[in-house]
Amino acid sequence: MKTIKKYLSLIGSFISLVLLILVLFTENLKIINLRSFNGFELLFGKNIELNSLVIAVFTFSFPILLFVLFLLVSFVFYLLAFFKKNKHFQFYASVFLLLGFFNTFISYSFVLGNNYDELITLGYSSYQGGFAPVLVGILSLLFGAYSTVLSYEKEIVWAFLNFFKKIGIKIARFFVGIALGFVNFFVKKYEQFLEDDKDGRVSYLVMGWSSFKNKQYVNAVLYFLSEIIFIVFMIVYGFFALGMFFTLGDKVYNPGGQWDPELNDFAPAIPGDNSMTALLFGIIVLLFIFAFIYIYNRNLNTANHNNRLKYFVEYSHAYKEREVLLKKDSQFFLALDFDLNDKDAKKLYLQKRKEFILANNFDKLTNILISRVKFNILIDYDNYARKLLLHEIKFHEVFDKYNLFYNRKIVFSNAIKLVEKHEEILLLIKGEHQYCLTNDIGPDKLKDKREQVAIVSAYYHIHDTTANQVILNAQKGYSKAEIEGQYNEYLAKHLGEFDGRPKNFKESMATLLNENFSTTILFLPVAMAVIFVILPLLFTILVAFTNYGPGHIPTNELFDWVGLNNFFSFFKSNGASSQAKTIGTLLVWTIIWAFFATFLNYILGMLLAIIINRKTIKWKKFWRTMFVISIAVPQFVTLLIMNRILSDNGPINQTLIKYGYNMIPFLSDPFLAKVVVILVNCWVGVPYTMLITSGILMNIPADLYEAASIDGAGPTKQFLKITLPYMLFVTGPYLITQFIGNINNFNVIYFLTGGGPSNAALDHAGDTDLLITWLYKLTVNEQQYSMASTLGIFIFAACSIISLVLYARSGSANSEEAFS
Amino acid sequence: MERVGEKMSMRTRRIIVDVILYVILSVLAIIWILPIVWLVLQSFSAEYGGEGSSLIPTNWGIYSYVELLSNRVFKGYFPGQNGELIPLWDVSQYNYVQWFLNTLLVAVITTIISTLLVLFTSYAFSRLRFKSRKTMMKTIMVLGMFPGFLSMIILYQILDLVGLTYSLFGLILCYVGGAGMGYYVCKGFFDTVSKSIDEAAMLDGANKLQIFYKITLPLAKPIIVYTVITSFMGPWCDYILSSYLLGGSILTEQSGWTIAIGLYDMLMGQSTNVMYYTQFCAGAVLIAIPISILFIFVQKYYVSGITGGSVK
Repeated sequence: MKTIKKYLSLIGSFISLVLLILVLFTENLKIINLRSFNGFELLFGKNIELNSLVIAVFTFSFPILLFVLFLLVSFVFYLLAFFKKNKHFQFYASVFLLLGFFNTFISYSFVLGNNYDELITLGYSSYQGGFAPVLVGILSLLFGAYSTVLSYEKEIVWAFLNFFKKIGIKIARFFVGIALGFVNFFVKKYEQFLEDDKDGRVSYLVMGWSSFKNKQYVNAVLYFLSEIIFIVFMIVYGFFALGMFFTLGDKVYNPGGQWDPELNDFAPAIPGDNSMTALLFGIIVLLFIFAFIYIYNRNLNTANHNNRLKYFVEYSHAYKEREVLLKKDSQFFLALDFDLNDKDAKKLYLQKRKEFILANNFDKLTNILISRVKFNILIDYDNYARKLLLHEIKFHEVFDKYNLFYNRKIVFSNAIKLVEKHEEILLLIKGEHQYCLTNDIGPDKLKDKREQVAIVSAYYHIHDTTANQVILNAQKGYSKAEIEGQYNEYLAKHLGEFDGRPKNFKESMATLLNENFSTTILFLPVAMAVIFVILPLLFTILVAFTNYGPGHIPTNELFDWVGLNNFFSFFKSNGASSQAKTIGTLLVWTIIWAFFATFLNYILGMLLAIIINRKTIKWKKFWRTMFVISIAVPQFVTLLIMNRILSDNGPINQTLIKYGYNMIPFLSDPFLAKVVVILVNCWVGVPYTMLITSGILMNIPADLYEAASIDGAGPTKQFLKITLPYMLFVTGPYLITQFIGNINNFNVIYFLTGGGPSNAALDHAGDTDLLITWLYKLTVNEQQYSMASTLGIFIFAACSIISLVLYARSGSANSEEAFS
Repeated sequence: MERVGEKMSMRTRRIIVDVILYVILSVLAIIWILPIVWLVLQSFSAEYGGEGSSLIPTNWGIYSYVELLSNRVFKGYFPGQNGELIPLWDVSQYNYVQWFLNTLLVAVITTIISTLLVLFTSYAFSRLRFKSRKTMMKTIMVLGMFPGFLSMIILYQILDLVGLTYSLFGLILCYVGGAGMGYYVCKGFFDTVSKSIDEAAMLDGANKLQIFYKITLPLAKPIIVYTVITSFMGPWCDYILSSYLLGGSILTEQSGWTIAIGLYDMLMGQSTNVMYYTQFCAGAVLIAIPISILFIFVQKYYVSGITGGSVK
């Protein structure tokens, strides 16, 4: 129930936000203008011309009637809550009260705002337009929200406020982090310079010198070559390209054609600069410089690492003393027998740890590595200790090359630690099997290895990995001696790897398959993404600061930097179809669209999945296939077909006309078109949701339902108490990505309505246009590139804020390691 | 006696609920299947220029398929020597077979490359721990929020620089470019696969590459199938990017089009939408066939892949 409440409050606050925005833009929306309301034609088959007086009466009475209705429902729930002593009824009552307030406020502002002209003709000239109802509405909304919260739960308010506080801190931290990162980089380089020997310092000027001195010849040659190439490139082309980047070209295209007496001919056309390529090559050169900085930094790190390695020769022998050190460390931990939640104790821990590391400089590396062994125990012990250890490990990342060895070592030591218990564990598993059989829980449970691992790890309070390893060894039938034998053999084989000598080229290439496998495997994806995603993205962002658009289209025209002008011009309203107004209108519609497209799909898909998964329903596969078939037909085809079917002279309307009915303007009436777009999107999206949710539904442990039905919970209660919270928890991140995806959903609108019906009040946009389709029109049809880029940045900002907010709230986003 | 009655009432209640659910399911299924049935019916219509004004065609035939595949278009009936009407065909301005082959080529190559890229990326983010892992994941998340097609213009410019506009190879490059960034579902799946097997392999002396292709990949069959399907369906059904890069408005270059551009032009083109309407339907049915077959065979994997991956 707690989760549901959480999500209800989330959804509630979201709805209120949407409604608020809706009302603020009520002047643009004209949803309920009774004069041009097509609903009558829909309902009665002919258009009813309304009397002005009727409109006035309706205008004033309708919201009040609605409010009274909601009030009555709310009152009934309050009564129920009072007599039945049930808190949930109280909750429903407050929800209805809140809805009542919402409704009054919405309908007043809509109906009054949109039928203002009618009212004036009736003599209500003192009425002050749309502002007053909005104010009244906001007040009633606040009051409604306040009363809801008061009557239900105060902590929601605090949770809400705290949440904004946290977001603020996070954003501040982000920027401070970037600044600190820059400073730290230079500080670190300076420290490295001080620490380095002569060879290392020469490497700051002559790249690869230290590598050369340490017999890493290939590396040295590569470093040196890259330095030479960079310098030559910059002199030959780089500086020129950078200059062009800052001016974006100044030589204007000369079409020629006038008589030139010197040439005794018509002047030929002289090509000017191309701002487009100037910008593009500028970005490429900048990226090139960044790449060089990265290589240069790597060179410095290599030099530093080589230098350090000289002092770490001794450590190759340290492993022989590992047993001693392990004991020492465990003694240390035993001595620190205190509660880590205690603040002073934490300080003491930090201090002791530092002393321990500093005092025994020889053990520095070993201690860190040992702490990694301990890490597995500590990870569950205390979050603070975990952070501390992570910090230590991060600090000593330079020794990452040894990590693989130690990962293996952990596995071995864990195996040894638990191999004695493996008989006992087998007994436990067998016992559990017996238990399952006698209690008829289902022996298939045992086949799942994860289940066994969970049992064993819980029983012995150990990490999953360890439990897994023990079970594995138990299954393979290894004895303790065998595992120890393997361990020693392995140590003997790999001890030579740590001789403190810098790796030569061949050896470091070999690490690309092991320690540095991430580099190998990510090289291609990253390179592709830089060329085809990041480069165009940088370009697009920069275009927002230029006047690239009509009148400034290369190659015959130049464009130039204009600073933040594009951003300001969005907020200037000039004339009837200003961009500011268009953005406002489209933003409201985009949010409404994204909301309905996401949640309607989700709920309908889930209900469908639940129905199909019901035990008594037969031909499950058949039903599922019926819905899945629509995925197989490409989206653009089905959408174009839908467009045909629903168009004004499509088959549905033709049939209607044939039998003497009026046609329904599915796609040509602004309001109806919006509804149709949302419904068609359901048609497109529900099969996907059904597929996803039906899989997850099957994963919900069946005993939960059994227990609930024994307790007497009906299907509705089971859905609300088990299914919905589970689904919301598991699919939280999916919902967020869906929401963002719907804000940027292009296909449905583009193919179904093309943004239409067109609206003269908007700037090159129709009534169903989303921000994203408008963006497409601005770029492809109108060539307003700089405007489109600016808008793109706005959309990006909106999306990132929404997902930041939602991600911070969703639980499963933070538990990445939960399953591994 | 009482217990039996109770049982009976329970049973009748269950049956009533079931009947209601069956009715709901049937109605929904009809709604979902109807547009597709309509599409198929139209493709078998022999009414030229009918533009689908009626739900069920009056004349039937496979003419539209034959015309589509033989690059012909119906011109009209002309009176013959004896006064009977002879149907005449013209050479079609479209070349569907060529589009089909183009799209197949693009889709297959894209599928192979982008599946690899997705697997690489998700494996790296799920199984390997390296310095910039979190930063990269966050960056990718942020990049994903930027409306993608804004960069189409500049992609076009870049391809123009290297002379790859109006070429299928350029299109493939664009599809494949950001493929690795769609790693979420796949990573979610890898996260759920137990790590103990990796460790066991490490004990036996396997390096990370061997672990990747000998252990992880065979275990990840469902997610590979899922990735293959999604990365095949992307280019197979894409209109926006392909039309911007290949479309132009020059009909002479239409042999280099993909199916989506062609079909869109058949239906929404300036002068052709009536003549080619049934051909459009036939073409749409034909491109749906490969995906349908793919789906029918691998639906099980698809579901387990997507649920395994998206539960995170």
